[in-house]
Amino acid sequence: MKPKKIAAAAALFVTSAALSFALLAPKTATSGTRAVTANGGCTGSGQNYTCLGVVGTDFNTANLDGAWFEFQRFTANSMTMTVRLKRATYTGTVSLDTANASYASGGHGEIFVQSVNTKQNGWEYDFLWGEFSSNQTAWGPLGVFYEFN
Amino acid sequence: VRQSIAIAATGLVAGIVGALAAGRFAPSGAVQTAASASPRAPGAVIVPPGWDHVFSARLNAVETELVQQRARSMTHEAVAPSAEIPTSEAGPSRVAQRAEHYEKEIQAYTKRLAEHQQESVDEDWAWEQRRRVREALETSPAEGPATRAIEVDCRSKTCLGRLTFGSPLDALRYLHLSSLPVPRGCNGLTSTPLPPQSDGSYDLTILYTCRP
Repeated sequence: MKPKKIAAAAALFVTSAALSFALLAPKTATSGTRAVTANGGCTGSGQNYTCLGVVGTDFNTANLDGAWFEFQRFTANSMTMTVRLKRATYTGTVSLDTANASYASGGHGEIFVQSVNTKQNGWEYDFLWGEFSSNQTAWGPLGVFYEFN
Repeated sequence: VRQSIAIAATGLVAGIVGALAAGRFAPSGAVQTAASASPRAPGAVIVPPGWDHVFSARLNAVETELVQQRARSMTHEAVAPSAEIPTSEAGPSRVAQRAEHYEKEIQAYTKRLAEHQQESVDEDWAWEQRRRVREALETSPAEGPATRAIEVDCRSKTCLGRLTFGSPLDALRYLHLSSLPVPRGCNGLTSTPLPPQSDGSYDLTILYTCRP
């Protein structure tokens, strides 16, 4: 074999190996959603509900994008809903991000809360949860989607 | 034809080598379940590392007594190695890790407080927002500990509330209230309770984010 062909074969070998490695090498989870349903992960009644969130080595709060708060309204009256994404670190820091919305009638509702304070100095040993509160009682939470990048 | 087969074989072998190399880097064991934090009920008080010195002092006294008792018993009878008091290897490192992270949180929070101080002041907004923050803080939740004094400073994006409580523990109780107030016009907050100087009066600062 000529040296040029040997070099080409070697380059092909290295490139193929590198591609296989890049595709197959295990990675830390970098994006995803953790969904918490009302039935399984929310407590409360009337105007206020709290839905838990789960963090860990594969869900560091530094990667938290925010959370979708999903709920159903059963009233024809106007209603306001405030939702809070809350985090308490294992070492005592408390942070939260909040958003609210007003509705004229019943139907499905969803509010996204962008993580600003709750992702600062993120860690895997954090406690995370979502809170709903409304000025009405004729509604119910469907759950919360915690999104991370 | 022979050359094509050689190229295909090279690619195949390279792929296998790459896959094997990838396998070597695979984490062993159940990674996903290694360190999941359990959710804690909102409202529970988390005592930062180093704060529970009263408890630590009591623990130290018990440990000292235990060591003295062991020393006394060793003078009377031989103690087999198996009688060693079991120690947790994970304990101290976990404590150290927690203390280290608390230190980082203090640094990050102090930096954010400094950034607040350096913000330019939008007088009109700051005046109105200061009133809103004070109003929210003065309407303390019924289940929360009473504040002795409240100071508020708003700039152009953030506001800083300084609440004086009767004790550090009261401040922690306030911070972990499920009904922790967020003033109108603000959309979030952060507070890292700084180490107390005494068991008496304690100033808790809360940084409110109000404008992007």
